[in-house]
Amino acid sequence: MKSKQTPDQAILPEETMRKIRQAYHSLEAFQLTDKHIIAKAKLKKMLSEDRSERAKP
Amino acid sequence: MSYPTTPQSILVRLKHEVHPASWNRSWEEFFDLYHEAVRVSVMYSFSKFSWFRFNDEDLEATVLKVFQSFNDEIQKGFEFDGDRGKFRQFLITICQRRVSDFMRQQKRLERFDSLAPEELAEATRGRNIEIFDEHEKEKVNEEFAKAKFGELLSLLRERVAPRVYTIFELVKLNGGEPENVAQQLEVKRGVVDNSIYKAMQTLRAIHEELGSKKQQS
Repeated sequence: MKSKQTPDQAILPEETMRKIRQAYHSLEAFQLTDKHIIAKAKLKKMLSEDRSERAKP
Repeated sequence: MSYPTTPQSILVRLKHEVHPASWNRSWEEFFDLYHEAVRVSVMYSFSKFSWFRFNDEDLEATVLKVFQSFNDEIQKGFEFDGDRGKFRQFLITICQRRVSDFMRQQKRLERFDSLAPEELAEATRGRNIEIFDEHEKEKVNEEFAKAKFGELLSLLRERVAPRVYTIFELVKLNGGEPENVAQQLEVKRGVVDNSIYKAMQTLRAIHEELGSKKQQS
């Protein structure tokens, strides 16, 4: 019996799409947390200080 | 479960991008994708080294040190070599070393008792991801897989027109009905179908590129 496939599934397996969707939603949710936003700001400051330090003669 | 290899594009961009604004964008993207994976790796490294008294502040500080170390590596000319191992193993090694540093520092300050220095050295020597138990390894791999699938989407966004990506996002990622999306965006249904087809073809090409890189390494 022929398996039923939508045109999209013929391009990329649904299992792969499921993992992509899961990653998309999970990453998006985490990127909106205070934890992520604060860490990003702190890291930016740290690296900027590092750069200034390196630029010193 | 199989996991994709780390797409090199973001690493290549971090290595070769000379324009500061573009480099900063790539760096932010890298951080957005890998923050949670690194966080989980650091958390498990603490517990694997029998250091259970770390708090959120210690965890976050160590995570930032990992990214700072990786940034230092890039500044020193880091080049990812797929033949020498997976990128996630490299990043996990940095996580374990920064956790060791943190514990040594705490021991010097005599804040806590913990493993002896030689035990720490043994714990971090070449064991990498194998230091985690099966459950932890699975969780760490899952987080790195999310980062990699996330980058796959990021590559797609770069390679297709903004409208094509928006339609793909609304239909294939957010589960919107193509007919409704066509109405919302005030385009013909055919535009939605063509955009999805185009996006899926591009996604498959990216997926295959990553697959062939995996076979090469």
